[in-house]
Amino acid sequence: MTLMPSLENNAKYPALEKALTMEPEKIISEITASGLCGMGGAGFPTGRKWSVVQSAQSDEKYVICNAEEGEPGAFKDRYIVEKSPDKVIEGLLIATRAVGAKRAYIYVRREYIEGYRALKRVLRALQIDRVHKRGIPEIVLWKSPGGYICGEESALLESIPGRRAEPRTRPPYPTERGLFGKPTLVNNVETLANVPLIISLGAARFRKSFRKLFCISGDVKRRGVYEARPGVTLRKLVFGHAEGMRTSKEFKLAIVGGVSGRAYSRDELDLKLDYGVFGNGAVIVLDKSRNLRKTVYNIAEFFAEECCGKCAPCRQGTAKFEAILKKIKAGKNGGRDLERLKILSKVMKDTSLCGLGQTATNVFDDLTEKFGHEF
Amino acid sequence: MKKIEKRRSDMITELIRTYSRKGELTSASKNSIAEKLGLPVTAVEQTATFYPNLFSPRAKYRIILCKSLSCSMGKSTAVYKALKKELHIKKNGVSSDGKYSLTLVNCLGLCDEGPAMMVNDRTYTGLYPTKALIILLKREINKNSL
Repeated sequence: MTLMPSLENNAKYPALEKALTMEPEKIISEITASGLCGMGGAGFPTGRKWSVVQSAQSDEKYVICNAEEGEPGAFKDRYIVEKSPDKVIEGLLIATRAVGAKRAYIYVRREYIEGYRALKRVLRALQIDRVHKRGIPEIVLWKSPGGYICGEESALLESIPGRRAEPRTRPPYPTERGLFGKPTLVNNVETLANVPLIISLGAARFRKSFRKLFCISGDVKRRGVYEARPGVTLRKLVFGHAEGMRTSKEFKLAIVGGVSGRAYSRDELDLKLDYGVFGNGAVIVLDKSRNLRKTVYNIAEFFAEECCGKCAPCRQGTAKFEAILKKIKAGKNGGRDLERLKILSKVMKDTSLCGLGQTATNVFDDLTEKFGHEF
Repeated sequence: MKKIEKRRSDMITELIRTYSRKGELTSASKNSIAEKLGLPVTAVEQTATFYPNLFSPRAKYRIILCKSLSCSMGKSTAVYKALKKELHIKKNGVSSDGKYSLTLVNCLGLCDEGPAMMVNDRTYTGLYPTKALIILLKREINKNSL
């Protein structure tokens, strides 16, 4: 049995110690000044989100760490919960102080068994240390019932009270009406894991030293999680960090932000992956041998399966994409069907209730535009 | 937390508990869960039907194999075919001897080490057909030798 590290002077959580001496408004102004944005993919300014929850008038407020990482190509949150669970929990506790929440949840995907256990160990040690004495809230470790859509903020909030994980119409936003109808802050694992650093270093120093976690997979020599400054080029990530292509086959394209992201060709290798572009930081690299009809089909099948079914544009749209791209994969020629799919893609973008339907066709759009001859 | 929301929050736990005890979710068990939680049975149905992965086929070794993009770029299809063949998996996803269930699932968050699968609570990565089969053989041998 491994011994728990000693938490005698709370030395393990120096940022939390500091935050406990700060006014909530001061904590939030540091987060805002740091420029931290959501790392789950949507990139919403974190300080602003915290501010809305903090100023909401309510007797009950909640903070939730979203560890339902389901985007194909993303695995950074797995690394964080398995290897730095203490950072996640420290960030979570700082957030609860900042917004005035009484209870926090860590919503972990069911398949992250080691991560769940790592978080549990840290929580057990925290309780032993009687952090509760200082008025620090209860943290509930929650296992997600499973599914990509459970990572969507409002669907996640539906799943906790045992309902179907169907996204909500917004407004009102979770910051105003969230878990059990109360103001709720939902933040991604990586977002929260950066919070202790902001408090310890201060916003200015954090801005200079912040590194985003990029997940590189696919046809590269060294797949893995890499730290890089926002603005790093695709070329640097693929040919620098990941050491280039796995075989002699050349680079064809990279899908950035997971399968709901965008695809960039060889001509765009010098693109700077900055806020608003990197999404969650997932990068999937494809070499020249990859059949793009198979690629778009794989993605279409994913979204058709993961679609919650609540809204018609997505429910019927993703099903149509799957059915038609299956035929195209089998050799049927693109032609009119492809044109129809492009129109359907626009409809889904404009009318789907949540991000799933709105982004499901992104890669299809990019690949048919940039590699039209392959369809 | 309001009482009814607390009751609802127990629903998934109740469903999982019932399923792991009985190996299935009958109308009777759904009715009794509904009664216990003070909810209409439709509420239980709605939830039970939304999370199929929670109620996947029962077996001694539950294998879930990733088929999402990054893993599919590796040998995940070949692994699936090999497991399906060698373990004699039937159309319902369970082996003829009932020992193994095999389900294709979406991204497990192991894209840098794929192809990947989980067998019960353990993850296995860097898969190719022979490796996947040896893993399962070893699990069975280790289990029997305890």
